[in-house]
Amino acid sequence: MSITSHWTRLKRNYPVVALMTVSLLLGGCGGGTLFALKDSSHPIKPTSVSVITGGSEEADLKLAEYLTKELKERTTLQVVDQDVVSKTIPSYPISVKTVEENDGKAAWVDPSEKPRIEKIQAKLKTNYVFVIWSKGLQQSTVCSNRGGCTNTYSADVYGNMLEYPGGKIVSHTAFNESNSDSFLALFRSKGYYVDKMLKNSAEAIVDEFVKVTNTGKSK
Amino acid sequence: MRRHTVQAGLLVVAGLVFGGCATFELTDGSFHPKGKKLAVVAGLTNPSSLEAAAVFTDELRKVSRFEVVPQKQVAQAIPNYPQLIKGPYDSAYFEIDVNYARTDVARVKDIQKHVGTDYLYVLWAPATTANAQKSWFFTNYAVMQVIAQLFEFPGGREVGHGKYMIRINDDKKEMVRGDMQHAAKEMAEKTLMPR
Repeated sequence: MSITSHWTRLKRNYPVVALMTVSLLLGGCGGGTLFALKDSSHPIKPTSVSVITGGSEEADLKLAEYLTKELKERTTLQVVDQDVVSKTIPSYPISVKTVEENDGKAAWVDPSEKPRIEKIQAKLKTNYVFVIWSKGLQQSTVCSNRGGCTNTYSADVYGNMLEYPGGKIVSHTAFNESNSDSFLALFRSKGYYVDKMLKNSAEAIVDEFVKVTNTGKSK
Repeated sequence: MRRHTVQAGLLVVAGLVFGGCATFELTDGSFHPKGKKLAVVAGLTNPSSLEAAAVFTDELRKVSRFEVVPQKQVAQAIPNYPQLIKGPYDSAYFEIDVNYARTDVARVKDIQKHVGTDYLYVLWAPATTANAQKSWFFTNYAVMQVIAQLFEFPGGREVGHGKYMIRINDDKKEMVRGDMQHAAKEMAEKTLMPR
């Protein structure tokens, strides 16, 4: 094959190539902060934590579920199950407003929401409340001229962990996660790739959580 | 040429979405209504589900002989309304992966105790998808996906269910009433309760 015809094919498939390049470069995660302490000199005590979603969409609920599971399996903290959270807080999930900074590079629980979270914490009785959001879930489809389309799903993940008593924000999370499907989508359930993306997000947060807080379970 | 193809494609999609598909099916072929009192309940706490429940309530009152409990009364009767009820789907991000067996029927029964109706129409609107391509020539619609189940009391048996899409006018940010009216009318007719 000549270089010209190779280049023509490459140009024709430019959107797919661009998407693949971006995916390879970013490895599914669009950069950002997976988990960082607001004050690095303030240690996280290996006590107890409950995860609550700050949104009320399907993706928010699933992300909270996956994060709960990861924290429970991989850290020494006592983690409250989502079923228990839902039963203890009858109006759960509640939408928790955020204040975004630097064009969405960070997000903080709106101060006006703190009394509501405090009420939730009083019922769950954990030392930490990890509020997590999945915002702006998107699907973009790129089709090549030779047939076949690739769907890429992406979402912005934000999180804040609050410490009690006091309700002080001790950590923040802000990153973009994405995942693309393949021809295997034909054999998989409808939500498979979004689920996978949310699972990856939860895993990535806990990878960093364990490193930063030194609360990983010994293997 | 390409534009015409896109337009034709959009028409076909619109036809499939809002045309021939049933928005409600009885699960019991020999169904006969045993009462008239019905409440519409949102199974999710998100604004879309609450708005859909309110509009469906209004439309069902107009097109059926059911005595539909106003949403304000539903909210007063059920403690901490809206409550999260596990819905009839495995996932619902961009489209609903239906699984009617997944519903938390125990919670549905518990909620019915507070409203005391003969029927509970529980609906979930877990996903709203927007069209990224804007056009000056057409109205842009986002599409709200709705899934619903009709339960009969006493007993809490599911007697019908349906899945449908409601257009949201992107400019006005409101539901297309006609789509919801269509769903309410079909439910009223199939349950033998049209006005």
